[in-house]
Amino acid sequence: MTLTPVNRAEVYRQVRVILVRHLIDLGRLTVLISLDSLQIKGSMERLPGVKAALTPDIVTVIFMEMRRIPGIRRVQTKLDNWLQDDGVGAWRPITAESQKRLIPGEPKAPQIIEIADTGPAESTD
Amino acid sequence: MRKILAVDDDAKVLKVFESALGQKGYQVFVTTDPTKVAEILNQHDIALVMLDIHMPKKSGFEIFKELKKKYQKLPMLFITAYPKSFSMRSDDMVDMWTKDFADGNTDIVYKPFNVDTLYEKVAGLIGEPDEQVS
Repeated sequence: MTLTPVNRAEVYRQVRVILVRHLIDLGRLTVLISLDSLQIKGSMERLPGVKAALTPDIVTVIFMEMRRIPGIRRVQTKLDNWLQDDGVGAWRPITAESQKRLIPGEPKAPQIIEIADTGPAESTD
Repeated sequence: MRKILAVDDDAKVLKVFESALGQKGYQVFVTTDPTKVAEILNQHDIALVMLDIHMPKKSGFEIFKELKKKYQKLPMLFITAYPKSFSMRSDDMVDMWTKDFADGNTDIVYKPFNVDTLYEKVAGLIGEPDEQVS
């Protein structure tokens, strides 16, 4: 399904709704929509002063909610501070240790979360 | 052509907005005077308001709350060099975030920003300059 301008605006809005609900600092992330794919770039961080830490489970939930947005089939991430080892496992924060394990000189590939095609996409007509 | 109103007490910053977003095809109105916001909104069909936060006459948050009462769905974009402005240690901010930001029509850009980021945020709120969104 190709997103129309109306759909795209609504998808952007729903992404912000999800991030706001989880107290994520909007200023640290940018969102791009290309065809049926969502790309999230930047740092996934809580707002300043939020006591509850951002955990791997919460990051997982955030991306699960984004995958459920009508019209979105793929969520691609380029995060500075979270990593998903094989694209399907649990999220973990990037620490100095995990940075060292990356092969030197190898650029960090964007993480792509593919969504299984479970049926026809929702019609927007 | 989508119209944007930018409010900042720094005229140099407003020139950057005018130039960067004007080149992309948006029509940009600017003011350093927060008290002119209502008048400009009455005269023009503004699709997005861009707000600095720390201004001497009136803060961006005050303008935001006033506009939210009259224009509930008007997209707004905060531009600030101070991420701690959004600290959830303040009851006012908790209230504003959980009520006024919850509809997804507000976003934030931190200075310094690159023009591509600014453009992505603007397009994410109101679409491309000539898109029929509403």
